[in-house]
Amino acid sequence: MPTIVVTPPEPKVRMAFMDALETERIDYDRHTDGYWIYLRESQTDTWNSLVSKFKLKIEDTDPPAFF
Amino acid sequence: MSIPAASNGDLTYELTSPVPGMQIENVAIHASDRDIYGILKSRGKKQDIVLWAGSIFKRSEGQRTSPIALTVSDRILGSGISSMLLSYSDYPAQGNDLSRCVQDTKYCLQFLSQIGYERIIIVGHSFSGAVAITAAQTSDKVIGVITLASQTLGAQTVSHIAPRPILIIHGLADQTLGPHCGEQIYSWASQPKELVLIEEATHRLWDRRDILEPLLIDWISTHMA
Repeated sequence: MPTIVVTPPEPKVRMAFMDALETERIDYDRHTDGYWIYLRESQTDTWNSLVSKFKLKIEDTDPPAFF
Repeated sequence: MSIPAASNGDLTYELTSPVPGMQIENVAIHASDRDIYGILKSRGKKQDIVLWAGSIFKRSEGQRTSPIALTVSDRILGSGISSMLLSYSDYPAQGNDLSRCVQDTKYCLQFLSQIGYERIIIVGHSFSGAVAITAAQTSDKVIGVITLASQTLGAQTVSHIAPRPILIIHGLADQTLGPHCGEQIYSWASQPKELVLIEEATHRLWDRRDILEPLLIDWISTHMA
């Protein structure tokens, strides 16, 4: 279950982006450095389509956990 | 002109008109443990009202009122939608005490219900965004919530507002509470919900009055239609 950090998409599509994550039941958190996406293996194809649709820039994959 | 204190349940209150004939009344709500003050702008039958939580700030040099609350309350009054501008008790002596300010707002909701208002939208700016979210969950008279550049602390229970709608507004140039705060609150909320991020708006938001004012008026009018 990888964790992916992406730069926020354009402001005008940010609500649609979060709605899409909810629709696809992809867990996420919004932090100051971007969106943290908690992906299940079965969601990889869906996620890739969202990356394309919202022109997402991936900043990091499986970043160190913070406490 | 002063209307004698009235009593209903645990609350007593006084309504004072500074200028006879004006649609503005000073309100003093006397709860068992505190006094709360505000300004009531009303017109027509008592049905719909917007509660502007914490929109009046008492300072040593006097009182300051949110320009957003002042302006929008005037505009919607023409459509028969009243407004209550609320000053938190003992502010700023108590600082931003979330639970105290939530209780102030709950008392105000009780007061508005007592005097006959049936449908209430709560608006809260910055710290008061969290107050609005929390207080809204305690009254079935509340039909909607608007947060303006809200903090996230105290807003985690926002999903409990559903099925009532929430509008979350944040400025993209907010250096005090970044737009990620509004987005985080949106992520916690349940539908129906709406997020509006305003370009070049700072924490005050009023610097983009050209967008904010019609947005608030439209949303309030639509949900109180």
